[in-house]
Amino acid sequence: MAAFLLRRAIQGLAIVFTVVTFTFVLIHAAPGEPFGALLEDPRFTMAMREQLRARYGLDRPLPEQYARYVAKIASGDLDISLSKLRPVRAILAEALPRTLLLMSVALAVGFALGIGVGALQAWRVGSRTDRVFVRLTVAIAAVPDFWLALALMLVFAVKLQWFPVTGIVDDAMHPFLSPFGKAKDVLRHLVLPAGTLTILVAAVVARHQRAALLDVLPDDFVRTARAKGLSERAVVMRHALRNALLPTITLLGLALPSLVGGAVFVESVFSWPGMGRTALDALSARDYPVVLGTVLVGTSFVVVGSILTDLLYAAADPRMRRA
Amino acid sequence: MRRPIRGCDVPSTPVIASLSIPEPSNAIPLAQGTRLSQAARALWQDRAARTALVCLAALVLAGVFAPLLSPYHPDVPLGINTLNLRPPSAGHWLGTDPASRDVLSRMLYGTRVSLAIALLSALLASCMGLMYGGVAGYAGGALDSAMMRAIDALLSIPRVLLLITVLALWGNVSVFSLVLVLAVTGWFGVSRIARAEAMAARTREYVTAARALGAGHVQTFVRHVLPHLVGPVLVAATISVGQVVILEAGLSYLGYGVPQPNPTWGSIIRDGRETLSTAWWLTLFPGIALVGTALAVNTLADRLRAALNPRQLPAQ
Repeated sequence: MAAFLLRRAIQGLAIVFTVVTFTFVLIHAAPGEPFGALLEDPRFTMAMREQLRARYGLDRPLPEQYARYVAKIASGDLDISLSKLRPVRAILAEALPRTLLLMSVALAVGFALGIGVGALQAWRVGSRTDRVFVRLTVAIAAVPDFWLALALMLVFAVKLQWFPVTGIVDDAMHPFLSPFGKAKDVLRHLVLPAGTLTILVAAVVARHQRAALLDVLPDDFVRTARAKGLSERAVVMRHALRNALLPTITLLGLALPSLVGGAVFVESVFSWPGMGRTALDALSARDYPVVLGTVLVGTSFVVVGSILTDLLYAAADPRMRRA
Repeated sequence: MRRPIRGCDVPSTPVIASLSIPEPSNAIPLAQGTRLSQAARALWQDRAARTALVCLAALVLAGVFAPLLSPYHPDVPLGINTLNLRPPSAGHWLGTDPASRDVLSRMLYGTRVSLAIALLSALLASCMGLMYGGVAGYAGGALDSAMMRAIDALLSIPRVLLLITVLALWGNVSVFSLVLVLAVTGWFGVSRIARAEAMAARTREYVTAARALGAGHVQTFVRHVLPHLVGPVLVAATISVGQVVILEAGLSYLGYGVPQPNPTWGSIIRDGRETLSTAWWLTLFPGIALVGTALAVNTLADRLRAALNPRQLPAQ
């Protein structure tokens, strides 16, 4: 187990390192430069530009800049933002919890809902309920994330006005609210963005869960459970579902990269100030350190998530523990 | 039937042995061909698959004949202060956008761009995945595991993040570059499928037979292994067409896709994002087109998989 973890950790580190290096090359190969907005100011002279570039080490040859950056990451420093003039770590420390809040709610509720619906469908396979959910989940799988976000926004925020349209807090009122009121404020803002991602996750999970259960139900151990005289409910929920959960755990690891992407669209639609928005803003400002920082954190998140998935899998399946 | 007998009679001098290869190699693609045509027939007999095919054909036709079908020019404002943001009416079936352009015309031209990008990049990605995965699976051993480790790494990069990074940095990219970027970031999954199939095909008797009869690795791979990967890769390619349609729409919605004023379904929705509360038609109609296309493509992929692999039918 320790050897496996160590191997996966080294592999993960190599992946993160490669992706960051690739992004570094990409971002410096691209046209445009930081301080682009300043250049449009007529008082901003070339000498001042050179001075700024020298201050942030941008006048150095690329290999040197790269070596410096890698040395900085190794010591836990993510450099300083070129557009906000704040440490990148502080910017990401603000944005990351917001995205994690969005994603953890979407993952937790989405998987719970999906497993429940899938189990219900498999239990009553061929029934009206099953057929309705088959259609529904297939349809949802075809809906673009950003469009679902817009549709929910239009119906529940603009027309019905049950929830706020954008943002993470009510900017005017938030500072004056009690701690409980503040939490409630964030929750109200969370419902629609998290709901969008939840619906999409749940539909995918439900389809897989139904298929996995139907795969397991003809097996011998299910027949044995039935022969013991257990109720159909106990057979499906306790015996079959436990085995059919394994493919769903794999799905969790596979869902992470696309969820990071989905979060970019959903954050953009709802102006949710998380990692996605931070990355988009940094890209258009050519804020190299912030772009690299978001890529570093995003990729690490996916890598750690996939290792955790493997651990979860080992915990759920005794056969995997020895391998 | 004469050739294999002659091939067997003659002791295996390389020249004659290679003469004996064409028989099995002709036979396999033929069998594959009948399997594909059987699958096509099964597909046409399935009501859902037929509906999906008809819908997609209609979309392709709408895209191809967009210049004939469009009532107005897609990019020309019809009257900046008089005809902007008009709701659907007899004159403009799907309304007009903030720049007073006809939404129906823009959607028809958008069909062209959206479908062309999706089809081309899915085709390109599938070819890359087919070759990479096929070679890895056929080679096996250390090469295979090195190649697949690389795929594991590539699959853990969030594709959307990578695409947005590239597209945001380079600004307005041409349609051709967009296709290329989508293809380059889209073949990892396909290569896994191709690799699994190639590994299975590698151990079959006809591959052993071809090798025993003196066929080189390249010949064996191209003639005997590759044809068996076509079916499963076709399913994966179909799925990825649907994915790319949605992905390109999302990128265009963020403003990173096809440059303005070229309409795509995603950029029409983008044009309506400021006026979402009043001009719902800019969001609704392209959205229906997107969902409908993805639904049709997904249905087609699902039924194609079932038709190509009848044993899996109950599980689907």
